[in-house]
Amino acid sequence: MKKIPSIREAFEKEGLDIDKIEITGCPERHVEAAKAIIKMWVGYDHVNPGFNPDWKDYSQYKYQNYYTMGSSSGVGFSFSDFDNWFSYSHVGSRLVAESRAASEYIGEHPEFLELAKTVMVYQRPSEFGKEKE
Amino acid sequence: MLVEIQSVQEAFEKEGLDAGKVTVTGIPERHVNAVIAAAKLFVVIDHIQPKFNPDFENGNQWKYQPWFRMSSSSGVGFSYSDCDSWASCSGVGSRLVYQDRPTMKYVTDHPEFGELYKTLMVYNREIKQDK
Repeated sequence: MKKIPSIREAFEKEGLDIDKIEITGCPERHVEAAKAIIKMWVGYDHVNPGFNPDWKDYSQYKYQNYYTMGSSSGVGFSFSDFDNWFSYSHVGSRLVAESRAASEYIGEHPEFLELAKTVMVYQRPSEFGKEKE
Repeated sequence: MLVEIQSVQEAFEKEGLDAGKVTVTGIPERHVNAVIAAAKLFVVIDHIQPKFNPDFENGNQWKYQPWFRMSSSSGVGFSYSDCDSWASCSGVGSRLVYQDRPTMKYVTDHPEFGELYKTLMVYNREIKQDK
């Protein structure tokens, strides 16, 4: 595991500016979440630079985080715990960590936590549902 | 209620958008297709269960999230495995949880939507020793 000063610095190491991510053609309600998930992926890459999950290696643990979701607006959103798995996932290779320490570091890191909140907290607009009636 | 959307393009067209025109710039190339797949899944799931808003403070309302067998690093053998139901915790969040098992299965068994999950989840991190 490698602690990183910030995800901004992770982007800078790749010659990119975290403020210049642009997404077009996607509904506005998902743009910030899509940007946040990219930032998390790059953050995971830099925290786990020597780790490539091998899902056929049952002896290699892969740690994935869970969050307490809190209210619909995200009040109370917090890191809950992590699980270790060998060959199954619901988040995929981009969001598994190499160790318990890396998983906890990410779970408790304020910047990662805020990004996870942006990705995960979502209120499907009520007007949206009505349009489908 | 499950709304049987047939394709990603159908979901995008309902919002006046073209699924083939989602673009992302300013990010590492290795994540571009995955984030486009994520955005498409977000939209598809909105249209398939438009009236469902997960309430994580309601312990009686179950939310379903799929598990996948990851298989090889190239994605060969990637397949839906099973689902979990949760009340207040999640690993994937409100955009990617389902109102019930049939809705979840509809998405994961659909060839195009299932492929989006694969694009999102299968990844080979290039190991760089100098980091």
